Amino acid sequence: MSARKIGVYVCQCGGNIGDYVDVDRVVEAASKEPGVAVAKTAMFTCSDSTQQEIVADAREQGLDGLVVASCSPKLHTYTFRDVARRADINPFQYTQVNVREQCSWTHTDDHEGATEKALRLVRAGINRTRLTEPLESIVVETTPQSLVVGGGIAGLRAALGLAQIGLSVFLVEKEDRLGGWVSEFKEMYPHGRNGGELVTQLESAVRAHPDITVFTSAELIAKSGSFGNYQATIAIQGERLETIQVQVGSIVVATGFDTYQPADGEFGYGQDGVITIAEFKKLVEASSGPLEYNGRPVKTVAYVYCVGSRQPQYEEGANTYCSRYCCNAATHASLQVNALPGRVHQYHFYRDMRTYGSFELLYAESLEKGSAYVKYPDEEPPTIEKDPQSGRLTVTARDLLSEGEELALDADLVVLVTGMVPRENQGLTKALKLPVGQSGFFNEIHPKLRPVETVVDGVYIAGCCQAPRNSSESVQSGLAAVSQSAAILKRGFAELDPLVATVDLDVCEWCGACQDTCPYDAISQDQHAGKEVAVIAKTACKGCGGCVPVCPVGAIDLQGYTDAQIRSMIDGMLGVGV
Amino acid sequence: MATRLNPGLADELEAYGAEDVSKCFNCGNCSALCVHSEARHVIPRRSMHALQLGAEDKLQGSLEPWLCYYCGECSEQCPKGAEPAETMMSMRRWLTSKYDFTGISRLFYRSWKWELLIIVLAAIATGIGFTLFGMSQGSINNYDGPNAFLPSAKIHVFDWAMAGLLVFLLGMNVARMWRFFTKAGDVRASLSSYLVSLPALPVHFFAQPKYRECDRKRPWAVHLALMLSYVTMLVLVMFFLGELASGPEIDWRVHVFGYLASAGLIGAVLLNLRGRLRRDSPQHTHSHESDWIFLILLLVVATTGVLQHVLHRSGLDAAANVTYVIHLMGVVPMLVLEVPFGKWAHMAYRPLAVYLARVQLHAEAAAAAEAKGAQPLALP
Ligand code: SF4
Ligand code: SF4
Repeated sequence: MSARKIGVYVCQCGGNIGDYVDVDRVVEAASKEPGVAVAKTAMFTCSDSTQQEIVADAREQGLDGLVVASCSPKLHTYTFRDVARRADINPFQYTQVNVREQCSWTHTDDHEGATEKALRLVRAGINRTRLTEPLESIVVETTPQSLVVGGGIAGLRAALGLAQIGLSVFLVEKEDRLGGWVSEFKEMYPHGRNGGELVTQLESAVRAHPDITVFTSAELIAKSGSFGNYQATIAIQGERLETIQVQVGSIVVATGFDTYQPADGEFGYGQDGVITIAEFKKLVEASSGPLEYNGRPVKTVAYVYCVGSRQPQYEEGANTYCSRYCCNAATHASLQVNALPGRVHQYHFYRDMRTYGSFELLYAESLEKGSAYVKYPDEEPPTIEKDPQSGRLTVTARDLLSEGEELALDADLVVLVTGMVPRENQGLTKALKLPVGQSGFFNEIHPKLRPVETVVDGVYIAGCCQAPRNSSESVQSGLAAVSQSAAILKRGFAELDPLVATVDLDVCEWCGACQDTCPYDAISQDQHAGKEVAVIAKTACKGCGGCVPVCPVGAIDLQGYTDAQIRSMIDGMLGVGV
Repeated sequence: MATRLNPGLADELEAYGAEDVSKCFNCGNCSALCVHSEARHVIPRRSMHALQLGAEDKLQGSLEPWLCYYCGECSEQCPKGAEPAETMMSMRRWLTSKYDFTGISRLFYRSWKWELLIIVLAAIATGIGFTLFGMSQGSINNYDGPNAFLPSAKIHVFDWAMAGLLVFLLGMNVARMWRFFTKAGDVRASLSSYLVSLPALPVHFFAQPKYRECDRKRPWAVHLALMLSYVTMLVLVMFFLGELASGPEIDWRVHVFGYLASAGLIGAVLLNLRGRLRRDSPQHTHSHESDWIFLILLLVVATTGVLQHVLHRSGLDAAANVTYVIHLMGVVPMLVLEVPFGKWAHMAYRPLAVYLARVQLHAEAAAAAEAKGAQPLALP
């Protein structure tokens, strides 16, 4: 008979679970398991009243383990760890069993089967809990310094924000000047402010701040150490190349984007009179009189949208994403053209107008100022041809708003509305082990709940290195990274889950297999009792468990998921008695 | 063949009154509520978009502007204030000038000053001409009889000559309209399609049954009164001028029609003028200069027509003759200028558009039936 006192709570989740799984049977069976002191069901286990009930039961019965059979651990692990803490149960002696996603939702047509599966999963959960030991969070002291990679608008603003909350900041920029793309813009929407001036203001604030150190012509080339205390190696190109090391608690990556460069001949690119939106914007901003290109007056402009964005999935290396900023940029550029002297006829060949939010006003204004819009079919982009004799450029497209009729426009200038692409950043990606998404931009952990965090603790992403966005959105994400940095650096310490791998030093014979397999560089070689052994840095270990099975002598165990626990869970599922 | 765009078209149409077309964002609300809009004729959205794009050839051969009767509901409901109804009206003005091979129409619509000047010059020339002619014929003190100032038999001949000229001019324009239409729509209709659809022509000329389908019925009723009065007057003048002019006894067989038609004309014109002054309905909200010129001319013609008759009946022959000359000074510019080149041309183009639309339907049904090897379908 086990001496443990475990509470088991089976949730009905309204009818989500209760309508398919016979919860009473599950409770009944759980109550008979060794070590179970309390077994109950509740309509909603996560509700306040049930949480209080759990706390009360635990105090009354002196519970030392908790099993909640409800929904996915992604949803409520932290909720019930907290309940355990309030109930004086060690939070790591609580087990979440998922009987909603894994039973009721998946087996709606088989109530008996769903119930049987729930019984087994709960038994496995109880078995695991029975073998838990109380664990304490790993507390690491953090370095109150931060590194920002990238000196564009997002990086500058993040550096300033970090300094303003009292952290020391190192700002690393690859180019020999700060400011990035925005510094090259003149009028920006929607406020009409000058991009160059905005960035200059920001740059002088950054340069004037005593707690910010700026390195230009510099790159982050390596990172070592662990969460809260990283050593970053920076290479600086001066008279000669030198490297320095800085100690930082967090790293904000804001390395920006590149513009899509059309291939030769793509939408007529490479011919005289076919240019990208970036080139066009420069042309317009340099004009004071009537618009001219290569000395020729421009009376008709054709914009072709979505060039290099939203490419069909089946194409090799396609950019399937929407670049998001370009609809706004093109309508805005057309308004800048409207403001020049002389009448210019402007045609926008688009797929969908995605002038989201208040940018809709740009679209509305450009319409009213006489821009014409042609909606071309997704699968049939416009073609651009140049008559070799007359040199006349003709854009041909089908217009869905004219029942698919084919239209031909003679244009003086064709502007390809090109999107954003990820920067080539191999070195940095490798140095930081940053995850890269399908589209080639850096990936966050969760797009809604953890939008600037990466799987590398303490390394945050901001601005267009994560996804195409405009400058204000970039600054927003930069500031989000600032507050995430503050959350770990301002307390002076951070807490990590203790669910990490440990080595039984007496058993270990140092073969190095574990070190080779660890993706986080958490394992190193050391001496113990006169022999070579593996030691695991618990702040670097992520608890992935990859090293456990490779150890030939079985010296490694994973806290919270020990071999014994896993075995007991399998037994529980198979219905083998304990 | 791709439709080649004319980027300047929308700018050009501005002179015809299309000032807000660029605001349209193609939501289609207007076409959803227009009773004349259907799968084949998306009125007015398609025309709005064609104009924005500058699809000139398409628009030039389109019947759709004529299938709109300007009830104005679309303009009231348009979320962007793009004034689709007024834009359709301005497209009708533009089409009128496109059909017209002389270029006079274009001049009139683009400059009301020219229109007014030419009308006034035509009126003065008419006045001088008829005064000299009258003096050669008899005495200003005689309205009828052997020594009449403007003997009705001779005026009658003049009327027919003028009618001939008018039919010629209008006929040329109508032929161009037909050609634009068949070219732009690539319409290939057999003679039988043209013949079978023929009854639509007089029906839509006299009664405008399509106009009656609009939610607002009053404009149709007023228009019908105007139209019938006008036709009645035309018949009287063309065929019964002698009976109309001779006196002193009133010949009720013709005069009762004359009085009714005059009352109808004057009443409808006054209602229209009042509406435009008060902007009482969407149709009357935007008045192009040509609208005013047209209404005022019609009012002058109708009132002087009645007046000269009253003066004559009252024995004031000299005054009646002077008024008669003034009347003719209105009639001639109205018939020679307004009917073939101005707003009145719509009385030919509109029924013709309805007719041609039916011809096209019939031709397509016939082609489809032939493809299936069956007999052409009868039109509903
Ligand atoms: S923002 Fe507009 S132009 Fe750019 S990819 Fe998206 S839809 Fe295309
Ligand atoms: S005219 Fe107005 S209602 Fe009609 S499609 Fe355009 S915006 Fe919509």
